[in-house]
Amino acid sequence: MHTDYLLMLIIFLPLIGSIFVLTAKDNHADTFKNAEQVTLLTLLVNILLIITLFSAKPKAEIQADMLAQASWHFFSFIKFSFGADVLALIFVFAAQTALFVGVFGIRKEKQNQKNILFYSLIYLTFLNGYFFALDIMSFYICFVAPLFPLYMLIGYALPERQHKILMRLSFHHFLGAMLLLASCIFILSLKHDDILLSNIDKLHLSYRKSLLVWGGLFLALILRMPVWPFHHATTSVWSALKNPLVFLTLHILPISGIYGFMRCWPLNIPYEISVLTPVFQALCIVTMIFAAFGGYAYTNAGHKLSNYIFVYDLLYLLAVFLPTDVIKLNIAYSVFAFLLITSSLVILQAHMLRESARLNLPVKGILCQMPRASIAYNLFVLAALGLPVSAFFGNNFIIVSEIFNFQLYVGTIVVVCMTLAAISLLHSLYVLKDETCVFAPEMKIKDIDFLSFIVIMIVMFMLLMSLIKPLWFVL
Amino acid sequence: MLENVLYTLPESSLLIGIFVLIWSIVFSKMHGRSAFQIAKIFILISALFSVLFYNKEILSQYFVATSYTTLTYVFTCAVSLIWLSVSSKWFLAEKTSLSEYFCILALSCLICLSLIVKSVHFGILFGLLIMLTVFQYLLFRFSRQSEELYHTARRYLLISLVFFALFFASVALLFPNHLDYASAGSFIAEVSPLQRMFILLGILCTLFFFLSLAPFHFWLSEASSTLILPVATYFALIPKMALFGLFFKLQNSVFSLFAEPLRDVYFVFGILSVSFAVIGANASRFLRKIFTSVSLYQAGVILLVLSTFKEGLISIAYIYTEVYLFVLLGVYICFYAFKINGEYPLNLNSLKGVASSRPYIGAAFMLMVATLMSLPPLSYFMMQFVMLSEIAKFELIVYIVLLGLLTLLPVYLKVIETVAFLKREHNFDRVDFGLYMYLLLHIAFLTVLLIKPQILLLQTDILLSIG
Repeated sequence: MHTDYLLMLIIFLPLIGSIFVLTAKDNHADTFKNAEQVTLLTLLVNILLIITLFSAKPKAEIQADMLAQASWHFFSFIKFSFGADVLALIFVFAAQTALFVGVFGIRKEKQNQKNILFYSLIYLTFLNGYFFALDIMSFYICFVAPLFPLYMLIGYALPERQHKILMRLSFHHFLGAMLLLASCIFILSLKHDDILLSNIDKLHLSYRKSLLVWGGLFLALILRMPVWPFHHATTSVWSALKNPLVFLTLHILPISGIYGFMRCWPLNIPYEISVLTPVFQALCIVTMIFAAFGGYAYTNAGHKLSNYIFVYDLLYLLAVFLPTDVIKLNIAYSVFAFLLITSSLVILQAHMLRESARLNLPVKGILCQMPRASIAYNLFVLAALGLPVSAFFGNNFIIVSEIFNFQLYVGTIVVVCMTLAAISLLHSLYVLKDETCVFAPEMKIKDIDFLSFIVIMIVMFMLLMSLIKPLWFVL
Repeated sequence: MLENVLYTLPESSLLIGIFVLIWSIVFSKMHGRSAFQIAKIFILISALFSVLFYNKEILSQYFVATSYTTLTYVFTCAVSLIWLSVSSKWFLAEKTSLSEYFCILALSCLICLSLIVKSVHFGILFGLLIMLTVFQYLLFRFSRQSEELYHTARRYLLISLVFFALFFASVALLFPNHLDYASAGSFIAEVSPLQRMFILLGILCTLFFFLSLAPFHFWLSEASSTLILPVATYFALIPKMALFGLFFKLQNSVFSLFAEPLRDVYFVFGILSVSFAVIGANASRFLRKIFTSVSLYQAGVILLVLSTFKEGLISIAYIYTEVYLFVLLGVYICFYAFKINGEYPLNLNSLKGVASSRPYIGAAFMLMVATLMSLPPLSYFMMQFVMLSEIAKFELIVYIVLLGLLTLLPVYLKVIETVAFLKREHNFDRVDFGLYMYLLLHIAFLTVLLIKPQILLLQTDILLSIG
């Protein structure tokens, strides 16, 4: 099997799809239908290709665990290298599936759908490149390139009066990009060749350069995470976004930051940075506590979900900083389940909010009028709580155990925060299913459409199967 | 004899073009578009002859034609052709009868620029710069008459005179035997440090004034909004392309010998340019002023990079300049496409929601802005990356360049926000089909650079035999 071509196809297929989406006529009544179908088909084919690549045999001649690799020269001294191992594939698979589910959430949206689908596919192209990047140059390019489509996506989805927070968020992202660029320039000045991400820590850097390179890399990745003092912009945009697909694209960004740490951050943190580790951990913990309690400050289910996501992003961040790499795959499996759960919850919430706005009703008890959505929402909230219905439970258990293993106090606070976030989410379910709220029979509240329900149930099935074997779909 | 005549064809063809245009003014009533067509034909002929006689010249003690000067001139001609093409649309829309005068001035400026690029003699350079200033002043006055513009034009002329006095004083010290670039360098090295700095600063400051580098940039940034669009386009692109060519040539043959005293000079002017650019762009809501500031930032970056005096940087800086001016050309083509009730908008707020009304133009404009944002994998980023990689040892300069880019970012994002997300407030006029074609070609070329950036750097050392 020509896995190298397969790898390039997985990266560039969304780009090809985006061109088809762009060419859909604006004045046609079925424009969105066409654009949506192209997007769904592109994502579905990509998911199938990823599953095929999972089944490929590792190419021992490249790297022990590499399933495919492709590279080409850009300038005489710049070589782009992409490679797929299981870790990268899990993240890519999760991103495609989350956006596939997300597309079902905007089927009823009327504004800027074509633009949003177009930029989502562009975003996904670069994101795939980012997950597959092997060398520092490809990593940097695919780190920065998704920021423009993301800016466009959020800009289209946010109301005009809230564009200031978008500006602040973009500024954080681009500040990270500049810092990473400076680090890349310093790294590449040492050796005019492709430098693999796994080899950065083997470079001999002076104290000053080491500080600039590692500090830049750390800040670049951390600026994508909702950690104090950079958390406000991300969470503000999360709260303001009503479009589920755009919400999911932004939701993937901190996950990409976590992936970046998994790829670039060495096991033995450089001394220059390691002295700051306790400070950083304290920041993470304090932010996590605020995020966990933040869920109780709102009655809105969307806010509660945002705070839940916030807590889990920080959990993964703490996990990747543990001085061990045995849980890397556990983090990946957990992130995979986490993305699927949250994407399903996001589109279910978007449907409820849409119906509530259409009929001018409160969302309290609205799930009682939506049998299909109710079943799905129940199942996904249970999975999100960490009950043993998916791989999420098992892998989170291992991650938390490892945190306990290294830092008992940190582990305790993490468990408390996770519990608080879970209770907050459970409370949102209780409010949405409040049977005391009676809706008049003439109010015809629409349930989630059958196709979306089937897709969500397939996602649930995937999660259930992953409890037995994480990569159960691999032949 | 005949040979010598042939070698002057790049310039004499432009001169013939001027005579044809004068003839048409005096003896025949020509259609506005025809004047532009004549001017374009003669520019094309001039560029072709320039390529044909790429290493031939007359009066070799004053002018030397090399592959580098030819390349610079051909670039200038190519941009001039597009400039005149889009300007003709402006003149047609305005229904003004002054097209012939405008084309004569354009060809006159181009003759001066062609000779400036080829010049190897400070005396000749001085004369040519005076001629260029006069023609540029006439272009200034060509714009709509207003009190503000009148003062700006007068200020431009007065400040030019001050710099000419400075340049003259510097050149006078080289007189009579050391006026050519080669011997000037060795002569300047021998004089006292104070005299050396005086000569170098006299030449450099005059050049910086013409390149509108900070703090000598106000004449252009003030005038950018009041000038008519074709003249504003000229000042933003054409002289910069040729004068940067001259600056790199002087850097290679004269200034590179004085790395120590000039390092700080370049650094200070570079920092000032980046700072003024950042402040100017963030403080302004005038479209052309914003992009004039962006241009100032790029010029500042080039100076900062050259302040390292590292070998091999001139070629990269040269290509970087060409790329950014090429992207800026795309921005200005978009300006010709934005029209509200026959008026070309000056304020950024006028462009609200233009992407919803003119999606292709809006998308092209956003692409240009995204390119200027140095977003990978676009070609401009690649050039900036290559350039910064070369000076990675100078961490401070790398951080200053990136900080400048970061502080310009809110401006770029604001422009994109206005164009793409805000609600439309005006009805935009129908866009000329020709502008779509120019934009398409422009984007096609940017795409080629994106896919095959090697064509920019292919054997630059051989191609750019600057010395």
